[in-house]
Amino acid sequence: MVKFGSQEWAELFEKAVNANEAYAKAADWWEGDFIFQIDPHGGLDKQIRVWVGLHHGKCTGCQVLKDDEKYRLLAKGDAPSGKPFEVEYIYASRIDTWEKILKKELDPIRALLSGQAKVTGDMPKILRATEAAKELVASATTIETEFYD
Amino acid sequence: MDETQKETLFLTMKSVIDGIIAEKRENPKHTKRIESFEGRFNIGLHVEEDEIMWINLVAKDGEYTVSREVLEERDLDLIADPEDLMFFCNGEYSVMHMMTKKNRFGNRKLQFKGRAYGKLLALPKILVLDKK
Repeated sequence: MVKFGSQEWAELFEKAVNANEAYAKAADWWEGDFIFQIDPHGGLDKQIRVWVGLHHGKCTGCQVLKDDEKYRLLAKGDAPSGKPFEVEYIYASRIDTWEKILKKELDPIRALLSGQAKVTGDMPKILRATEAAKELVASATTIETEFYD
Repeated sequence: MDETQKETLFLTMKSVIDGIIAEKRENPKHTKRIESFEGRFNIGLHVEEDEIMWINLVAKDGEYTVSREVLEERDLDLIADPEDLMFFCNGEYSVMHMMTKKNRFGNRKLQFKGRAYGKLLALPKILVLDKK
């Protein structure tokens, strides 16, 4: 078991995404990195931010940001400069919602449309990627994950 | 659904609608329709069995505004599960699908009240993303 939001978990997530053929197919057109923002609640006392690099159906890297590391949210149409942690989207939710999503108790789209999660970024592009989003979560559910009770 | 979740959902739906309108504006084949379409719609987001959260969309003079109040003067009331509405907006669910299939609460995926059928039929041209 690995702790959700740890660097070890991030590395397993990268491998899981890259082993998911359904994700590769659903996201073969996708370009745009994410920050997964895990907000504190219950046993988690501080925010965790995980950078996830996603490019044409592959995960190009996955890294837990240190407290002093900053990311930049790119505006629509802005090209990445090549500096680390320039992302197109932030998917943010409280840890208890992440836990429900990763335990398949809550669909990531329904989390968004029930106000339990929030996406920041260009909505039309992400609306076209709902299947890819589901496969990202499916990748994560293959990891034996420990949460913050 | 608590008030924070309602506000988050409202902001999500607003960014979905604003994003689609902005993308349509960038496509010259939609310019005339986007500029000329007018209408006032209450949109009921069926979030729980016994709870509908109302937002509204007003299109006037080429401007589109989404806000949380219920409009007293309106052309149509639309009611849908927000997830179904999103799959309608991304083109996954057709108008026919929305009108004939049932949602998780056992109601039709898109319910409407009002007689502005022309505006109802025009809505997909405004709110559904183009295929890419």
